[in-house]
Amino acid sequence: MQLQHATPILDINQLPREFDLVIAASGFEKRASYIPQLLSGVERRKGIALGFMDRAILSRRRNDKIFGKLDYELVPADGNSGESMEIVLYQFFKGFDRKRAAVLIDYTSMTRNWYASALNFFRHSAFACDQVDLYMTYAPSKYSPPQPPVPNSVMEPIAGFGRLELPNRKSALVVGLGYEQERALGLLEYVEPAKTFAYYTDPAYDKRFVKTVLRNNRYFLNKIGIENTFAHPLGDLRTTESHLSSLCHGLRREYRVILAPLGPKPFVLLCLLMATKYPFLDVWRVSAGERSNTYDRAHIGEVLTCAATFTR
Amino acid sequence: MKNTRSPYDLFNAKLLTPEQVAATFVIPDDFDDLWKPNSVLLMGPRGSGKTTLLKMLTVPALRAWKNRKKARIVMDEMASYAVYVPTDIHWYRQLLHSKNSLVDFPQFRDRVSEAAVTSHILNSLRATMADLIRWEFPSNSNSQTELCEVLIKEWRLTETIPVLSAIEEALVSRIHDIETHCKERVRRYSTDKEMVASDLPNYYDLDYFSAVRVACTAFDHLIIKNGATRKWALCFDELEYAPSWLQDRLLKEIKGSDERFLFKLTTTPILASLAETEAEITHDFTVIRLWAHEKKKYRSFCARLTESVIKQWDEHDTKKASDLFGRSPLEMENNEYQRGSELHKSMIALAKIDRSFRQFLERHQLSPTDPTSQDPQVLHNIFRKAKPIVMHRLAHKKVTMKGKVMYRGKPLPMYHGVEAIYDISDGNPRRLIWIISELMRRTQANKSPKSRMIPVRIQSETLMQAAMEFMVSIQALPDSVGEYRGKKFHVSDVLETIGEYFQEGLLTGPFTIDPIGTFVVDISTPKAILDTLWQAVYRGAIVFVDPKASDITPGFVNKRFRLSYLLAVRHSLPLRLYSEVALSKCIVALPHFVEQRKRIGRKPNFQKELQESLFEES
Repeated sequence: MQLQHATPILDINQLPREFDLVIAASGFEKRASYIPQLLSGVERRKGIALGFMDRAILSRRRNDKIFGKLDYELVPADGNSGESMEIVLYQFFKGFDRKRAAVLIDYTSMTRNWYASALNFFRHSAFACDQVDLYMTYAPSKYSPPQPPVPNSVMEPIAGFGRLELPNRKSALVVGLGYEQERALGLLEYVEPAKTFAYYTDPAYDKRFVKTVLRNNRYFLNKIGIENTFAHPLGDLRTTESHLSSLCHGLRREYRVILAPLGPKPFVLLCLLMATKYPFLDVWRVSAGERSNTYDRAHIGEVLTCAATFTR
Repeated sequence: MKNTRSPYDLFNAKLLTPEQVAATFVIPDDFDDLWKPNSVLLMGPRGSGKTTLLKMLTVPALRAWKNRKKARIVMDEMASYAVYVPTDIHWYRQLLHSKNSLVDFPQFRDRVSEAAVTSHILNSLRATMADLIRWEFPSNSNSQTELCEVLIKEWRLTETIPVLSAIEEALVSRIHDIETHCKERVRRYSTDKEMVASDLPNYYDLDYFSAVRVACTAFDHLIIKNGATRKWALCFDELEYAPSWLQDRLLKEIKGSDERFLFKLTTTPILASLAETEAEITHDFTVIRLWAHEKKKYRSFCARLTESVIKQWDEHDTKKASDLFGRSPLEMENNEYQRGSELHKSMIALAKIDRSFRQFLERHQLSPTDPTSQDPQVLHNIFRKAKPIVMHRLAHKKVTMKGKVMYRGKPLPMYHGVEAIYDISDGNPRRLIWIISELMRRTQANKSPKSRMIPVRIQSETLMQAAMEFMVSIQALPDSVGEYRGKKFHVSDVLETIGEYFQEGLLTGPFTIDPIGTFVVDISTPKAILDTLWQAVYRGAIVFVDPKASDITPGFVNKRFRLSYLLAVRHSLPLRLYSEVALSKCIVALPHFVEQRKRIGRKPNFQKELQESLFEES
């Protein structure tokens, strides 16, 4: 299938009242079950909660109970692999007999592998459906200060979002900054790109996020220069996409382009959608893996939604 | 936000064209061994000049090189055409990604890897041929069409116009096709895995070396024609990022089964593995080691490189490096043993506050209040070796108003002067260029018009900053974590633990002229630690001290290392080689170090802890 377009939806009440499939994640963050609870009045044929196989800590048990009460099927899943997501989607659509499907994926507490795997599934799979209306929802979190940084252990393309290109051109790196200290720096040292650009969220729902990002990445930002650094609003993916798309298309003539979104998930989603649409992009993940810091993030009451349409 | 340069982007030959590399090329001592007509294994950490040297062998670089005399010698005597085959982390990760996506289809996976890498090698050869036709054989360029027709046929390209630029496009397109095959075939044959590698286009069967051979033969016949033919030097950069099948092939082919071909391979200071090969060093290939190991002299190259960098800042500047930076206080000078010299005074001062040093002098029949000798043996074996230890211990201690001996919060500056700068760079060109450039930048901001020498304070601060930045870059490395005695660690924790171990022995242990300052990776070293050392040696954070000339045995065990002198600055260690200890012994404190780092959120302040164990002198 092909990704036709993606549209931000500003009001959760504009979402359809009926879905064929809803997938969420049951994790250790308080906010993991927020949107599924908000949508408890919406009809759905099937609800699946992918439950992390590790780190059953903090709010995990509470979330499991909530999903149970909402009649979601809890499916154990490895956060480092998109396989469980693929299996869930495959099993659902294998017997799906309608021409059009409406799917909601709440990626609030998902790993990049999971929602990337979902996009990959719709991009590549062959089944009877002519059109999939995919709604990706996200609940922004309250501010919590970053924990001491843990070294990177993973720096690689997200499964399904790496290309093969002759290394006869230099690389350009476009980083979405996160607020943990100097994670972007490690990537810069590793890849040694010819050009580097950075995006950071501003305005954010809490100004402390902005201050922390700039403070904890100051060494990296000093290296790449202010002229290569861009602020983007968290809630306005359309504007951000326009800028990012323009940058990437400009770069591709001379460079192999890596998108490395390290920060807020909406920016990660944007990068994945762009790579789905424009296959010349790699999207990398940078992570401390099992040693990643854990944050029991609470929601702030907002919902960001992006609707993407896939057609055969 | 100011825009500062870093060691890792300022001079990276990977990002430069051969012409740009040639524009600032300073000949290192090993260059002549590289271009001679033999196969070479060029080993070194990042920034040591491997890519620069390989690119300098290419026709565009040699033609652009201003040192025309040397360029002519190299071009005439090299007797080969260099084909530079680049690689990088991006390509390596893309190949790995492709490999991982085909984990259920091993046969197909291997063929995809070979087809992709072969396409890349052929494209590199194509680029070289284009350069040769342009620069060396312009009068034979009308034979290009014939040559391209051979390449199209032998490389199994379809519907390609017979010009070299179209062949490049065809190879780029082939990579896209391979990528598409990976996705489509896996989907199509997901339930019949045996079929996934069936009916592949015939270019999947190409062997890279056969395809290269036939192309070079065609070039010799069609372009060079009646001229003297040369060998072809296939220059593969960063072998550690090549797929294992290619590494194995190259390390076998370096033996030289086809005399028309030489291989110039670059790789890390330690090989991960060595394919079964009958190749013998010096007979089949030469090993060149581009780092500051025990037997390598690098100061004269550092001096030439430094003066070249100074000239780039100011072409009229004719200062020598020693004028600009002064001499290092840790170097021995003439007359330094004499009464009244700085060393003499330092030894007296230390003897007053350091009992173990006093005892050391007395054991060697030297007066603590007037340590002098006319015996050349004593001067050489005692004074010369004692000097850096004396200076380091003295720099860390002070006597309070009440006469108590304490450790200083910040030691006196010791790292300045031209010799210290060269040593701290470990002879690594990229590192040295950054240090010199940063010193020049700071000097221009602060310069006193009459002063020739950069102030000691600026030199010390710059070197400390370089050390800090280096450590920050190490801390950010991936693929460098493990678990030891229940504690998860990063390789930076290992390096810090080693540094602290050496520092404690140097500063608080009994005075000795041969403290522990190197480590041997013993067989008791846990695998988890060994696995993290690859990045450390590749980045130059640890330096292989005593490689045997003819030994390229893979792995770390039984090899001796020191910390980079840049990291030695962080731990106030002398810039010398000292006695060894088993690595398994000096990492015993690693779990404690990791725990403290987690607890206090930063590197534990061992200096502060040392202060608490006061020397009981008065």
